[in-house]
Amino acid sequence: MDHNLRYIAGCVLLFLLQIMVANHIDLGPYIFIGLLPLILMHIPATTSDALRMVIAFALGLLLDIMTDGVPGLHAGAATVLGALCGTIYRNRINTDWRNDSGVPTVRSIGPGYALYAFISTLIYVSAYILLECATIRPFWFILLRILLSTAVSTLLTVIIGRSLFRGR
Amino acid sequence: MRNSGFIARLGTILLFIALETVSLLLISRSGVVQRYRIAGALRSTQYSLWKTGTGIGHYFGYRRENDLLADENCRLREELDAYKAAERDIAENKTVGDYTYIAATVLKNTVNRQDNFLILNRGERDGIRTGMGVITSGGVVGIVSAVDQTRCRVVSFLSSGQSVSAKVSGSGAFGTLSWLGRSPDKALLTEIPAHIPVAAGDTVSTSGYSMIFPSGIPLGEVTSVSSDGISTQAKVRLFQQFSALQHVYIVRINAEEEIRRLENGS
Repeated sequence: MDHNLRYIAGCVLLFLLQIMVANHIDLGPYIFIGLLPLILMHIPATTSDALRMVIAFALGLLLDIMTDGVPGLHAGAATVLGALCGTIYRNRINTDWRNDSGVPTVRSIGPGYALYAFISTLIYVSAYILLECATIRPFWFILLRILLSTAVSTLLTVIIGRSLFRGR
Repeated sequence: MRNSGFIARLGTILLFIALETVSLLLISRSGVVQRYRIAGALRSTQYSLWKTGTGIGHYFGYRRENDLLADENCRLREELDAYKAAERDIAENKTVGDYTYIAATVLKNTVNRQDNFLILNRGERDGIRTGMGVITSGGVVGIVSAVDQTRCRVVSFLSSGQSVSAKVSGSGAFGTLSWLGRSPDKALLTEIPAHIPVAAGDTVSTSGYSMIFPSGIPLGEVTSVSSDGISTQAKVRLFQQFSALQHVYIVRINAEEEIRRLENGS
């Protein structure tokens, strides 16, 4: 299957998975599962930050519309990740990105994939939780929610990413 | 090339701000609690910006505001003198000369010499004449000694040979206040009759008998008293901050000529 088609199919699947998780799976007040970073992490490295942000915003907004949450939450958090993840990938995770196809895959990133997943998930989950409940909830609640949500979401991201975006 | 990179980065930042603003607007419209929090944060930011802007605007208007306040102060002093004069008329059936106060700015001031002086920004064209007194709300400053069209020179009270006719509150004793010649805030009140009690803490003010300074201008506070049996001397701590003078008032006696004629017996 063409790589681009695989990528698009993987994104659609992830999107549907996120909607299902957001609408039907409740793990309590402390755990929020965010799978959107998995899509944004694998946008080709040659994509400009501006376009990456627009894609992130659009995906986040679509997710907001199709779930029961507050519109703007996923969009805002995804925009923050879209602004940063391209820079993180190019400057920290895979500085040799120009010599491969430029599409981040598990194989091209190598052992740094878990770190990349962790950083991206942390940014997205923190932005989402802070937008949702900053100044409303106590500090310890927010901190615990960020830590637990990041841990669970990172684990899921690595597992699903290795399946969907292994690369050649 | 470098400029296009900077512009691209700036564009990215602006795009980020725009997208996040849209997200926040969506959140504030949908979530009641978030709406109040976001609106509150926006209001706080607005107030801070308005306050800073107003502060900057006020700063540039301070000079004009100071001039307006100085003019108002002159007018209020004249009104106060008029009320005091009217009060005395009722009590003593006596006519006292009126005063006009002319606001002036200090252009030069010395405090560390034996004979100190000031240069003010008022001159002949403002009606200033030699011999006029100069005061502030803190006390006597000096006497005009030379005048040109736009400026005048004032012999400071902090000069050898300068003295002011003063009276002590409470006892009403009269004496002569002159500078001690050392510290700019210490003076000596002399020629007080020994039988009139003077104590530390008494306030010293102008007597009004010099025809230069109106009466009742506070000069200082008595700090210590000594007597040789014939007369009493009192050390006075001056209220006036001579080293910090910026705005002063020149006193013009409106009925000066008539009073001088009466003094000379003609």
